[in-house]
Amino acid sequence: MILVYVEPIPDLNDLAISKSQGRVFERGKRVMGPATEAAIASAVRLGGEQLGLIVGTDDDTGIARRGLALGLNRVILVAHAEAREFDGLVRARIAARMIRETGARLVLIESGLAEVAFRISEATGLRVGSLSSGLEPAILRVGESSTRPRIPSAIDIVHAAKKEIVRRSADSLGLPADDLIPRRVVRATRLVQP
Amino acid sequence: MSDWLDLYALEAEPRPGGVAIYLSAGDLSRGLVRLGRHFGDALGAYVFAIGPRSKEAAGWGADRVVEGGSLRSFVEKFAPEIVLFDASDGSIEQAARLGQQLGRSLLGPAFEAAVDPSTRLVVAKIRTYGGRQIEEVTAGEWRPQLIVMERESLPPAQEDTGRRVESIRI
Amino acid sequence: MDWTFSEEHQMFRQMVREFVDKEVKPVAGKNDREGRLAPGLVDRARELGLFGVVYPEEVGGAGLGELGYCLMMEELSHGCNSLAGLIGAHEGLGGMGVHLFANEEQRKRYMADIAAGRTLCCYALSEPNAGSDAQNLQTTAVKKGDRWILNGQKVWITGADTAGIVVAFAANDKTLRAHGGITAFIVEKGIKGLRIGAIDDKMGLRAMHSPEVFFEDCEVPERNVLGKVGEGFRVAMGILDVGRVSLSAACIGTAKECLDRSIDYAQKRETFGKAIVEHQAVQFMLAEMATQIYAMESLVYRTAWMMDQKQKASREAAIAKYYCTEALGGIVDKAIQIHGGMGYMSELPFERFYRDARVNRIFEGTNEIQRIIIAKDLQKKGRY
Repeated sequence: MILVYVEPIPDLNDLAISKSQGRVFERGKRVMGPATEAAIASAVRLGGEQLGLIVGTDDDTGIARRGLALGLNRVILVAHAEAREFDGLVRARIAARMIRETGARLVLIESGLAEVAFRISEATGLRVGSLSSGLEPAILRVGESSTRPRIPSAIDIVHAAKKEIVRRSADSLGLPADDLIPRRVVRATRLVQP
Repeated sequence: MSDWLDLYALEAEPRPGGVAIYLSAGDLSRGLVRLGRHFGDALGAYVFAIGPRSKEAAGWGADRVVEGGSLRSFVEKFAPEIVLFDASDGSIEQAARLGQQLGRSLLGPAFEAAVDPSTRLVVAKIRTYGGRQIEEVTAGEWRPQLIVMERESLPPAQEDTGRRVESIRI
Repeated sequence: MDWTFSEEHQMFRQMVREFVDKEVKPVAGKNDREGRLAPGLVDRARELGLFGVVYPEEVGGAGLGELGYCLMMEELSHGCNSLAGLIGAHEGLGGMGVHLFANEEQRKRYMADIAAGRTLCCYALSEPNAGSDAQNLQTTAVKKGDRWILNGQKVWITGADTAGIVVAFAANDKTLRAHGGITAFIVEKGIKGLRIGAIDDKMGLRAMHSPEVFFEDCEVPERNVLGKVGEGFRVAMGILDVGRVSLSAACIGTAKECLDRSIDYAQKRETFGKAIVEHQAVQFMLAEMATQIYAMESLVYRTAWMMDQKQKASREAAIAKYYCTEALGGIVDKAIQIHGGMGYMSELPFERFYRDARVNRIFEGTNEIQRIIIAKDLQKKGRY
């Protein structure tokens, strides 16, 4: 079974800027990046059962459906209200827990998420390689150009609606509450002057 | 703990904490050593170079060059306040693994970092939302502070050949 | 009342948008200049299942209903109205006729290929002397044994050059006209007596072809009568109701593209020391465009919903078609005005949109006919 790690990212086309507060707000829901879509396409090409793991909020159901439409058999959405504040430390802890729970021996993650990949490796003992190096047990980093992600067809989308999204709360994974708190503080934000 | 005290026995007064710089096997990041030197001077702390190319930091601003041992064993033994990495693949791997082992977040990749001598906190500036926003982040109360720097944002290297550099073996 | 689209519909819309942004918009201008759709574009649309969105899953369609079909047409028309038109001619007209009126045997024979887009369909009603007066068909259908022999000519038949099936209407009895005198047929390409004419040269929708179709002692087997003999006018009008709503949806897509581009331009272009969006004249134009688009969306998606609920919506379809096609003309015109001289140039899509939009007020029933449909319905009911 192949697990694809999916990290919701801000939709850069749907941001609001508050000059008075000196910060950016995300207006819409988060989305799946093209590199993660390539990772899913790679997983589908490798064959077998493909499971998606999303660490996000309840609003990320759309991302789960997108993953299913792109070919994942099942998606686990580990939700937490503060998930947008999670950093690599927290995400890796959750991912490692789910990898152990599902017994996944091959994990695909987009190559841009190097920190998370290595953290998961440290937490699970799985080695890190690239897609071409491939064999399990491993975490394989997938570049955006590795496999051209396809646009899901209308039938894929309709079938995705019938596939399973398993919802878990991050609080219910058995991790200490403290493990879900990033070890960093955002002290201030400011806008970049164009 | 005793080794740490023995090391400082060389000095008239002990220097708290320390700034460690991880130098991976890739291109030597002398700019990172320079940044570490700035932090060390601001905090009155030793600057340690560690990693496959640590020896090459001698003459570029490091006080101590660490040989042998793992990054984790160094951190546990010497309890640096700050560990600096650059954003190369090799360094990020080490930073991420160390962060996971110690339960610490990484601050970065940052395009700018400065240390406040009064609080001894590093404030790292990170671009977010496609570069539209800048976040200033710190490690709060957690130590060590693990900082990852964008390579192109590092200060220019500066030779520092007049400094006495000690070698430490773990 | 929940006015939101289902997650499925939203995802589907997003998919079409992605396809249009990445693969359609980059070639739309070239399609128009060369008078043909870029090679591979129709195949891509087929791969994505765009030719079978409205058909049910049991025949191989996506089962997204009229709502899904309209969403698709809206998104496609942000990019290329010719591609939208070709898909519409298949899915909303020719193929829709088979879907709505085929018997079980015909359904088994044809629908899987139609839903997959492997066989494209066109809708052949109009003739040189039977446009708005559709009952005045001159193409004849004469029964001989177990065959019907068709003779006549159809004009402006979109997709006839690429279709594998022509859904054709012919007069089995000219004296009866709409009441028993017209029959619909499924005519397969390649059968004896069917000829497709030369590719047309027209003002807009230039990458979509609408050639003539000739029936010259064309022999159509009995089993290819669509619906019942003599019920062809009902079949024709039933198909057009669906087609009108999706055409209206296509108007929304182009309208929104015009508005979005106009807003962007108006925020950047400066005259008299400020962005032109600060000038009231431009603000009024943008507001009018947005108002009309909101009305168009409301008409189209409410009517599409009614159809998906199997409610009769002939009047509503006529209202949607009439309003949306009229509104689009004005919206494209305003977009050109806002862009000034640049709006007139071929580098921007507005001149293409302008040319493409004009036929909307003519085909699938002229807007005069739509008003007659609406008025007759009011007369019949005696009230709104």
